[in-house]
This record gives sequence, structure tokens and C-alpha cells, in this order.
Amino acid sequence: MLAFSINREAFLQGLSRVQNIVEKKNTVPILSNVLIDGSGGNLKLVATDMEVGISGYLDGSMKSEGAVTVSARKLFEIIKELPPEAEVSLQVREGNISEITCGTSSFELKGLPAEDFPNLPSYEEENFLTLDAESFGEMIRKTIYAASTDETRYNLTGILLEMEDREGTNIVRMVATDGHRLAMVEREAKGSIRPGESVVIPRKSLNEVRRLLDEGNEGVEMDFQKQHGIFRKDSIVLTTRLIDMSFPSYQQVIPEENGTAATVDREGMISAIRRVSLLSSERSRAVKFTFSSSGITVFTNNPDLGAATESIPVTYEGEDMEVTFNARYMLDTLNSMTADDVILSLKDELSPCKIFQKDDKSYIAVIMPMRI
Amino acid sequence: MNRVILHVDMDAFFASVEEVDNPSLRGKPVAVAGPGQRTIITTASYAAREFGVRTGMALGQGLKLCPALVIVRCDHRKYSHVSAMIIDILESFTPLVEPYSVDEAFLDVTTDLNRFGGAETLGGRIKERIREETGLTCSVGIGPNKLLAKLVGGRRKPDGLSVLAPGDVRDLMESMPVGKLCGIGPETERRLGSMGISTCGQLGRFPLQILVREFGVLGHTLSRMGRGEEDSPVVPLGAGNEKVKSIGHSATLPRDVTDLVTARRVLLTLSEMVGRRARRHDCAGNRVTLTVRYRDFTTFSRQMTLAHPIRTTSRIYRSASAILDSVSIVRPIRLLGISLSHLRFGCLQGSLFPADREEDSLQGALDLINDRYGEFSAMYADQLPDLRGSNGIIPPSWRPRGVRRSV
Repeated sequence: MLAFSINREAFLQGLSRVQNIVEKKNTVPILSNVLIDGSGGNLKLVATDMEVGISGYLDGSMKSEGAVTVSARKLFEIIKELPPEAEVSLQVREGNISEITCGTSSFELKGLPAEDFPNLPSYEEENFLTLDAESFGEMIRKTIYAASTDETRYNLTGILLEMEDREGTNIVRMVATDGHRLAMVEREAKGSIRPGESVVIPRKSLNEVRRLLDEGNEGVEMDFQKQHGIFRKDSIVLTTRLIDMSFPSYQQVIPEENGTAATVDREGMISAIRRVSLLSSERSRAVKFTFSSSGITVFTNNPDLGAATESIPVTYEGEDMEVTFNARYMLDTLNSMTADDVILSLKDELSPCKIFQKDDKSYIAVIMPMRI
Repeated sequence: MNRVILHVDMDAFFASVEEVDNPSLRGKPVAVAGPGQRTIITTASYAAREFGVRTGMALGQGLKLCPALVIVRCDHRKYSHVSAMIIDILESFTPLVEPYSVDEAFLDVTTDLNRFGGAETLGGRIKERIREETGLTCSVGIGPNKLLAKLVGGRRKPDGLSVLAPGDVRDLMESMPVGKLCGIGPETERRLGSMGISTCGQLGRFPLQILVREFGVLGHTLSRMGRGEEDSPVVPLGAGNEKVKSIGHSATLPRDVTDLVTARRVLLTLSEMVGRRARRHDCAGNRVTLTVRYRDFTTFSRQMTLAHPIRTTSRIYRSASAILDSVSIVRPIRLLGISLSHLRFGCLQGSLFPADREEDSLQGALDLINDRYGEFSAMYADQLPDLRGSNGIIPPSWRPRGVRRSV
């Protein structure tokens, strides 16, 4: 039966990675557990909620091979309370009970049999393609905010990832939309891609991938199968179920370059919207933008609270226009950008507004106005 | 859609009520004044106004201008009683009545207009009913928003009826002095004057940036007022002050059912009733609650919170069905209810994808048909066999009005 000892910090880092993945609703009890698998000579932690799964190796010293599952949260809480740099021992005995000892502390944690733990999808070694961690993390950050959280619009709760061979350049494109706004980002991929392939990855999974990427700058490898996607970084493997529904044809809602363009200072605009939206209705977050050659005036009027306005300098040569946007959508988009100047391109007050960074077409956001 | 707003303003309200109460006062110069010796005139009858007697004037000054002036002490209980009668009359025309003061109200008659044969006919009928039932006259102004309805109504008093077509707004505003607009007082008028603005036409064309610099947030409103633009909704009594929390409908089924097909069909009708009322009141909500009552009267509710507010019948139905699918029905169902909450009024987020937009326009078209030809003139085919029969889902008295009734 499984027995090992391990440094508290290493154990804690491994356990913290699985905390977001284990199921919280406890509908299937074993999914709240983490599998500690020491059957192949190496020590491995595995967790899944059947949608996302993660597995990673632990650097411990094995005393006896075996496997067990225990409550991921309780084990994490126990290890967290132990003194720093302490050596922790875990020994499994009859009835899937884990004895955890550290100094004079000792715990007995009830578990479930490792045989009942679901297998993560398998993968072939040779199929992986590579993206550098920094640009993939940035692509996730630039799209994930626009994905839907509405389970009744299941296909929009994922982010589309497409691969394209554009005149010899490998392009990876990611698109997210909640039906009201959209974000699309493209990056050149290093290594090989599979042109024409496209998958829809659940939002929650990409959030976990992003956390992994935050841990260090090594590249991330990925592979997509019929129903699953696999992400690998160092020895950590994250598997995700893919969304088996078609993503709406997003190209049709990205406006052509026929609108009038306003060039604004991104940070100035963010500050102005943040201030003015303090008085917008908490639910609708409606803020009115009046575009004119002398500037953009941001305005909000809330019958319950009062009104606020602020002017932002702008380079704009179109006709005067009044458009209402959800302040949060505008802020999400502007915050996801990095350039000093951004361009807002609009046709009229009822058509979608296209937002992009000056001199950069690789990232485009589209926001639909509100109707008054 | 262009709105049609109707403004009703009672003529010399307090004085007229007193005249109705005491016919011997009719035609005489009458002033209603507050209690106490040194007091001011609250209302002067039109006969008194001919002598120059005005609201806000000291009693002594009124008597000096018109020695025959009959002073009546004001009786607010009497006026509010008559005021309530008038609101009742107005509400018999449309539920969208916003009492503006004791003697003024706004009505949103956009969807009711066809039923009443146009603006002028409707205005005439309202005046007639008020005269028949209270003996009072009023002036009615009809326009594309509250600002303009009140403005044109005030131009023909007493006993007037004016209709302003949207196409005539620009001409009317061009030479209209800014001081005539409700909301621009003498001080604002003076400040505008010092900027060289005396007419609404000038105000509407004036650079917004300068107006905002001068007046702050009010600059936006002023600029739009100058162009005759104003979009505040008509908020019915109760809807604004008491903050409506939810819109709901429930139905006891004609017979207890266990099959989900029948249950869903009822949900569709309930979704239409809830959605229609939400749309009529220009609100949307992002929480849908389904209530189920079994034969033995045990009742439970389950709710779903959506990321975005909804109000189309199909979305409400999809959410309610999803909730129904997620619960196991263990006994025959006696009653089903749907309610929409976490409401927000006005401003609605537009949809990016054509399919969603088509759904919204389809809903708009269905609503127009039902406004014009009566509820459930256009409906989903699934509703057909169950409707209008003796199943009791839709009571004959049902109207898509009032937002307060809830499950």
C-alpha cells in the first residue's frame, strides 16, 4: 500500500493546482477527491471534474507503491497548516485510510478506492504542437473575458481556437463571444500547426491553463483529439473535454473598415469611464458616449442616484454621434489592451463598434451598443 | 418605434373643482388660497386670470387687482379625491399612466393608438370622459415624448387639444423660446441668454462641449431639449416608486398532469404572458423562477440566474423548460408558475449575431400584431389546442398590464 514522504512546500504546490479542478457540488463524491498515484514508481497527483483533468508529478520519496484518493480540499487544508519546510509522511492502510504525520501532528483521512477514479483521456506523444507560454497566456487573457457564462448558451461558454496556414506563416487564432461582444486575437505559432483544425475549449479549462502558464515561461504543448484537448507544460498535463457544438460564424459580425474612427488615449478613456460609470445603473451599466470632433463626452444618468459626465480628447472626423455602451464591456476590452492609443470604429449608434490598438490588427474587439 | 405620449393638464384645477362643488361660483373670478391670513393664491379661475390674478400672488394683491375676487379656502382632501378619479379614468385607456402632479399626468399611448382610432380621437375621448364624470375640463397635448406633449398641450388652454406630429418637431422648436420648455427656469434661461441662446433651435445646435462646460451634466439634457429630444419613460404609479421586483404568472392546470409535453405547453403560454408584460413595461430580467405545485399542494420553486437579462417569450420559455428538465417530477402537477426577476428598465444590450437580432425583431412583430388585434392573435403553434378553451390557463380578464402581480 502507498507510503511516501515529501517536503511540505512541494506537496502544497501540487495540491493547490488541483483545488480549482475538483468538483465542488459533490454530486459524484470521488470527483471531490484527488488521486495520489504511486503505482508506477513515480508519485502522481490527478484530479478531474470530468470536464477538466490535471495530472502532475510530485518530488517525494516513495517507500511503498500503491494508490489512494482523498478529499482534495481537506488534504490541502491540512498540508497548508503544517510548518514550513517540514517533512510530511503519508501512509495508506486498510480501508483507504491515509495516515498523515508531520512532527508530532498526525491525521487520519478517509478516502475512496483508487480503482474507482476515472481515467484521464490518453494521448499520443508525437502529435503535440508548441506555443510559447507568454503569447498563449496573452491570447487567453485577451479573449476569455468575452466568453459567455450563460449555460443556456453552451457553445458560447467556450473559446474557439483555429489554426491557419497564411502564406507559409502558422497562425493560431482565438475567438470568444457572449452574443453581445466579441474578442479575436491572432498570433504566429512556432513549430508545426494543423491548418484548418478548429476546436472550442471550455472557459474554465482555459482559466486553468492560464494559471499553469503563470507559473513559468516554458512553452506549452497542445494536442486536440475528437472530444478532448490536451495541454502540457513541464510534467503537468491538463486535459479538457471540448465543446461539441459549432461556434457561431464570427467573421460576419466583425465590421468592415467603413466606420468613422476615433483615436483615443487608452488609459485616459479607462479612467473617465471608471469615474462616470460610478453613477450608472448597477444592473445595466449603461454609459452614453457622444462622439464629436472636439472630443468624446462620456455621460451617465441614473434616476435613483444622479448624473456624471467627463470629456476625453479624441481624434475624430466623423459626424456627431451618440452611442450607449455597457461600461463594463468597454472597460474589459480597454483593459485587455496594452497600446497607448486605441481606435474605436463606428458606423452608427445601432451598429457594432470595433476596437483595436493603433498599428495592430492582430487583436480586434467588437462591442454591440445598448438600445435606449 | 416612435412613441406617442399624451399629456393631460387639468384647467385651473382647484378653482374648477370648487366651481363644480358650488355652481354659484361659476363664471365668477375665483381664487383658491391656503389657510391663514397672510397667504398666497394657489389657483385662480380663468375669470380671475382676466383681471391679472395669478398663482403665487399674495391674496391682498389679488384683491387689489380684482375687488370682486371670491376667495375659497383650499381643501386638499377634496382635490386628491377628484385627482384619483381622473387617474382611474386615464387608466381605463391604458395602464401606462404616470401621475405627474395632482392635476397633470402623462400617458404612453404608443400601442393603444390604433385601437382608439388615432391621437386626436383618443385625446377627444379622454377629455369627454373626464368632463362627463367630473364636470371638469382639461387640456391635452400629444407628442413624441413627455417634453413635447407638455409643451404643445400648454399652448392651447383651457379645454384644448393639440397634436404634434414627429415631422413637425423641428419647425416648432426652431423659434420656440427656451423658457417655454418644462425644466428651463428663469435662471437657466438667463444663463442661456448670456450665451446668445434664446430659442430652442439655437440651443439644439449649440456645441455640446460648451454647454457641458457651462452647465455640467445638465448640458447634455439641455442640448437634447433644444432639439425636442427626451426619452424618459412613462412610469406608472407603483412601478417607479415601489421598485417592481418581479413579473410573474401562474396557472392551475385544467387537470393534473404528469407528462412533460403538456407541462411545457403551459410553460410556453406562461412565458408569453410574462414576456409580454416585461416588454410592455420595457424591462428585462436575468433570473427565471419556476414554481411547481403538486396535486397534494406541496409546492417548490427553482430558479436560474442568467448572465444577461432576457424578455423574449422564447428565451423565457427555454430557461423555464431547462429548469423543469432539471427537476424530477414525482407527482401529478396541479399548478405551474414562471416569474422573471432581477429586473432592469429601459436600456437593453443589443445582440451581435443576426440570429439573435432576428429573434428580437420577430418578437417585436408578434407584439405589434397582438397589440392591434388582441392578445394571442399571433401565437406559437404549440399553444393552439390548449388555448381559449375551458382549460383556464388564460383567464378572460387577462391583460398584459401592471408589473406587480407575481407568483
